[in-house]
Amino acid sequence: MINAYNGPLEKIDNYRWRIPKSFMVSMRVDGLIYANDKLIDSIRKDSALQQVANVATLPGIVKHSFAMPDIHWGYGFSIGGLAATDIEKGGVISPGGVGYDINCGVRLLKTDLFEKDIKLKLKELVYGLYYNVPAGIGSKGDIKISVKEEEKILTKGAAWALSKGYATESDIEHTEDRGVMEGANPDAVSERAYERGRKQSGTLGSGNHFIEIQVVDKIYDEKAAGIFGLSKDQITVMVHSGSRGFGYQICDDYAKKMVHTLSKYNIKIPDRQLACVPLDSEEGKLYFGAMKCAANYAWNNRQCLMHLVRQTFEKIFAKSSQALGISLIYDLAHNIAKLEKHVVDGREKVLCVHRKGATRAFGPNHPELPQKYKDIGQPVIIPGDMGTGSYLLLGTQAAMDETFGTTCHGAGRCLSRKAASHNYTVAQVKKELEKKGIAIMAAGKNTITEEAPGAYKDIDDVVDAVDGAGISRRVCRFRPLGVLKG
Amino acid sequence: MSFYQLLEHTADLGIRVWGRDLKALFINSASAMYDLIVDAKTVRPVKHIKINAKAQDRDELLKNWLSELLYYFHVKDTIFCRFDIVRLDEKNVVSIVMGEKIDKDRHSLQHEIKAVTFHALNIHKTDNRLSTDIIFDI
Repeated sequence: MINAYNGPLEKIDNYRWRIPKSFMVSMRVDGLIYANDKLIDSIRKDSALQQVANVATLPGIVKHSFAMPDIHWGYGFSIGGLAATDIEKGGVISPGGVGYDINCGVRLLKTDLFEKDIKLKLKELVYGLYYNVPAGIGSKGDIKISVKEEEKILTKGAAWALSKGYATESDIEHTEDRGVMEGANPDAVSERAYERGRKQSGTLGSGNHFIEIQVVDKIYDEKAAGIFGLSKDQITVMVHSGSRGFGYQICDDYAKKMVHTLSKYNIKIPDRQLACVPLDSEEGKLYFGAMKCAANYAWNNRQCLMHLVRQTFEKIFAKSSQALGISLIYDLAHNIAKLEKHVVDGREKVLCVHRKGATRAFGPNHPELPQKYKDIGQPVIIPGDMGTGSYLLLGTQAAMDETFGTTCHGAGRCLSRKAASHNYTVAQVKKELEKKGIAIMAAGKNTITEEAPGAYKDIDDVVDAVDGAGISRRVCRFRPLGVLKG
Repeated sequence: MSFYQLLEHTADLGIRVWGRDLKALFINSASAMYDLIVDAKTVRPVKHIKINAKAQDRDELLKNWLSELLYYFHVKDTIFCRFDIVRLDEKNVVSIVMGEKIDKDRHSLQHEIKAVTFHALNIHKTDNRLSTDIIFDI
């Protein structure tokens, strides 16, 4: 089933590789992969590079079909992929290019606590999160919402949480797009998506989703760290979740529809999971309007999860969230499509940028950035596996010039779930984590082995590749202390 | 179970499934899907539901039918253990499926299958049987 890639792959420099468009007649642009020598060996082992070539066949694609160093085999699009299409030239939008978990993303919270302050309370904190945050298969939230309320979430995003007292104005200010995409169209959402979404607000989910208590382990850029209010040994919390069943249903509904409209728009694709339509078409506008609803749902959901984290810390330390200095550094999406202005061949164009397992990484002075980060660039949060570490990076001008302001999104898997479950036992993984002083609670039975640190690429290699290529730069590295897995 | 095997897929869960004809392939695909979700032996056939699906070809039909079954898992907290296909052609399926509501005390849920993808679906003949790969998003 796993087919290693045998097509052409040219080394451009230490961090860039090219799949020339001559590889397949239908390719419109080259494939461009960011990776170092070590990572490229692992990337070649599955079908991800073939998928990069397949994406290069999409109508209206500009520059390249990009892949980040954490790329791995997905369905249709690879995970860790970036594709931008030119609307003026019939550029398409593809539900598969966004992924099922629309606006899956991460948020990073800082606290004023240090490692010594939580050492004795760590287990209590992880248990506290376990009891306070609904997680795992089919988890349902304590935050009950009516149909009317759900519609508000879909159009207002994280502002819904603000109106209910689950957010501060500063949280909203430090969320990508201020936690809302304008133009969400609740009428484009199926009844089934509503049904799946209603029960799951304020839930973490299962699989690779998590809440992690971390400590600042290493600082690479003191000045930027200072702007974030971070210093060595300080405690942070990372939340990784998405739009839950709501986004899945939207992706499924529209991928199904678009398989049937391929001939209408004369689109030929090598894999049905790449099904797409011109963004300017009726179907394209409907999907985009529905996708925005899911993006807004996810921003609100991560905000509700942050509220539950705040409550847990407040209870265990018997202090207010303000007294504990809990605030949001940033929240961002890594599965999304957006209309953005970028310069292509010297001309500013409006592009539909698909980031699937890739993170926006806008450089300094971009108008979309919060005032506080104008001079340094957009914060980029890169979660690693639960035993190794995570990073805070910054977007760069080079990313704006080369990758439509985009970088990697995480460690990226290198082992299948089957292989991971075969290679590790729950006791073994727990013991290994305990040896490193990491406390873990998991809602799902298989999560611990399937998400074992060894199932992922080395996060340090991935970050080395994006930093080396210049499409983002390191600020600090975090070490995990306590993990709640879905 | 011998009617399906797990495949290596880096991100998600993949299976290869076999059946002596299209009907058996559909039933085996559904049985395999529930085997990944829950220990199937623990599910009792206490209620039955009629589930239909339509599509333009049999690959899409299998995907749509499995997605219909999953709807009951996601929204109605119901899991199935018996699948009776009443009518099946390349574009339509009518089925009666049996199962029960999830009871966390008796059912140990193993994977949350969130969607059935088109990615590797290709029903074809092999050694006098029909077979396809299916990739589930989890």
